[in-house]
Amino acid sequence: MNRTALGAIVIATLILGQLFGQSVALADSPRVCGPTDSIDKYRLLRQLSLDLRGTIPTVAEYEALHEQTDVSADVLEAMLSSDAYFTQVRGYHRSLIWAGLEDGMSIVTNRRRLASAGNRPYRIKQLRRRYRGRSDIECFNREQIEFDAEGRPIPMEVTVDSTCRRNECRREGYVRIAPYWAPDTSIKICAYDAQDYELDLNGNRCGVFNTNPGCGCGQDLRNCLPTGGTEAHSRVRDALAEESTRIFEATIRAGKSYFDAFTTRTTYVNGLLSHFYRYLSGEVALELANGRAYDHQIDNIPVLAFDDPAWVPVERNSVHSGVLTTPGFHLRFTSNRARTNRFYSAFRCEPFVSSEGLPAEMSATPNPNLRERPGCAACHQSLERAAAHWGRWRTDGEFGFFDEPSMDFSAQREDCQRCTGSECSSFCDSYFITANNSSHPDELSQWQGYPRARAWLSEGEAGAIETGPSGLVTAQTDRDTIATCTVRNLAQHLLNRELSEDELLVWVPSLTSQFAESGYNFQSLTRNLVTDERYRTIR
Amino acid sequence: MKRYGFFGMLVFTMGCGEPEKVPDNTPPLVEPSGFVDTSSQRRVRRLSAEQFHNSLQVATNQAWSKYERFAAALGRADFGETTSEGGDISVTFDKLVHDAARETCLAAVEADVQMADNVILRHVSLADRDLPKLSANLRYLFLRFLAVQIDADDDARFSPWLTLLQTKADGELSDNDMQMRWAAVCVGLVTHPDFLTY
Repeated sequence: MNRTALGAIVIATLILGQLFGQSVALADSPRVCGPTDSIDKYRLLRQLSLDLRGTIPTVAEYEALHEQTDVSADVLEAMLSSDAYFTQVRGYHRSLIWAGLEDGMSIVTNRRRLASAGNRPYRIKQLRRRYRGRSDIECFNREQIEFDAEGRPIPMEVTVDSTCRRNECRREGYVRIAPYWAPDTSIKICAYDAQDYELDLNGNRCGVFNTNPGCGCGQDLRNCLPTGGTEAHSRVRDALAEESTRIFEATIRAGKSYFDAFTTRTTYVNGLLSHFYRYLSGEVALELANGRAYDHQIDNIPVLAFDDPAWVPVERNSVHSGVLTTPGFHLRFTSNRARTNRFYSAFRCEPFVSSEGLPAEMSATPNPNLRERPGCAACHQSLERAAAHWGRWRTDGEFGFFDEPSMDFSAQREDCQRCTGSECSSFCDSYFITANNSSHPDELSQWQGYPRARAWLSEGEAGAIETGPSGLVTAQTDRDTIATCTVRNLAQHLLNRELSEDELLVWVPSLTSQFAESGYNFQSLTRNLVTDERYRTIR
Repeated sequence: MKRYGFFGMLVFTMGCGEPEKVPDNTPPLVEPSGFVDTSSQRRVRRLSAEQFHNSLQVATNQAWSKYERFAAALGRADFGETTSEGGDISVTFDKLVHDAARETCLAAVEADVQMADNVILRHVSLADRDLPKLSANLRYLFLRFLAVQIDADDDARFSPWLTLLQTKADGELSDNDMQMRWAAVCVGLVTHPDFLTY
């Protein structure tokens, strides 16, 4: 638009405004650096675009404002329905739920991590003893050319040595495979690690948790993942972290109640997660330790190419609770208390901060019931009850559901109840009260052999274990608290400041009522906030 | 001035009741005196790393090649180890913003010259030296980068930028000089507080 045309529009607007008795804003931006009552339409458009789309407007969008007195409702609605807005929605919720997994975190068991050094073949470091008889023996950096009738590699070298497993060490060569994460390439991988058989040497099914020497990484190496720090590993890890934000996005995009994000069975997977759920997790090996993903409770995982970027909906089983039962959330927050703390901090605005402080001295045998221990009780009274909602889910860096046959919360598990020292499996020590993880006579007498998630809960409180995390958002009082916190969080985010006491007493309840009337529609809440006068004034 | 006077006269003769506007070249009020109630207002914030990266692309039509490498230093949180977005205007942020501005602005002006992208040089060519064209392009760039709409050619806010575009210690400005000057204008706008905050 040239200068003359712009001037003509300004004049025409002034004249029309005069004729129709309207107050029309001049186009010229104000010359104010200090606090201002109201930002002009161009800066408002910029502010809206940055908050709702994550970027400044185009010059064409600015120029379209020349003929407008203000940013129109249509422009706002276009922003609120744009894909860029939903990208911001994901980012906003990512910051609430801390949806990120550390670079160093491995998302598969170390018995399924492939690594190579220099030009040497890929292999699973932790399975060297199983495959070759000793943990310091690598395969040869020569191609494997001899295989038996079943196609299993014939070792190139066999040595009898008492330091080897079953007094025998063996070394094979490598084979070339086009791996699933880079199908257009060919990598060298030790022949034992590359095996692809349906059954192991004992006739059991091969899979992600079966490390029998007769099993390898499977077809296209699908049961293994390059070690942490590699691109493939980082991409799967980031997809796991992103899954929960996709649930928030889908809930908000569909105009559903915000609470659905905490209760829905639907999740979303792309090619990376489809592969992770199908081939890098599983429901077998209940008691196997140091895995990552076990029983995910998803029956029909869509078959997507590893590189498929589209996120598609998947119905999970009824035990799931929205974002609160995603592997990304569980691997990020590895204890039920940590999961509760993040949920309470982010969605109830009630972080667990002790008001009474720790006692000056801790007793030599502190009360194992944190709900009664001085200095801990104030937080743990509610923390323990809420944490019980994740009682059927794995902890300590693992993801997976314990169904009723796997874990009985009403009885002692015999092997975990009677074991001591090295007799106790890591499964018992991780998930049950045992002689190894408790020394307090009161705890051992009452709870030894019971799941840790059950300890110190009353019968009524233990009901939360079966309800699952969705039970945290079903009571109306809980919903009111979460709705108020949602309003407060978003208001503070958009205003970039803490709300005043007056605002918390009057403005937030008013907005929360509107939020409830809209059916807890997050877009509606956003619209109400960005059209509020507070949003238009800056300092 | 001539056009402004014409518009002013036209408004006056139409009897719309608006007083004739006189160009106001007084500097903006930076620190208003007296009590200002800021308790119910929005607080200015710095662009996040992602907002800066996205906005730089919209403004210059060029991507900063080193963004992923320096995103964490610009304040991008990973929510694994860093759980909040950085919002400080630190020395590091300032340094990286200047790096990003130099790379993208030089590329943007070069693209305008080589491929007529018209991103930075929309109302001028490198051969133009006359004030109306320089002002018209500055007006466009102020809007594009800063969301500031300026009507008058002689608005005081243009002065330092026009000095940059018109002054040379000795001799006349060559087209190569002008290419660098327009890139410098672009860098100045990207690193301007009004671009980096909202």
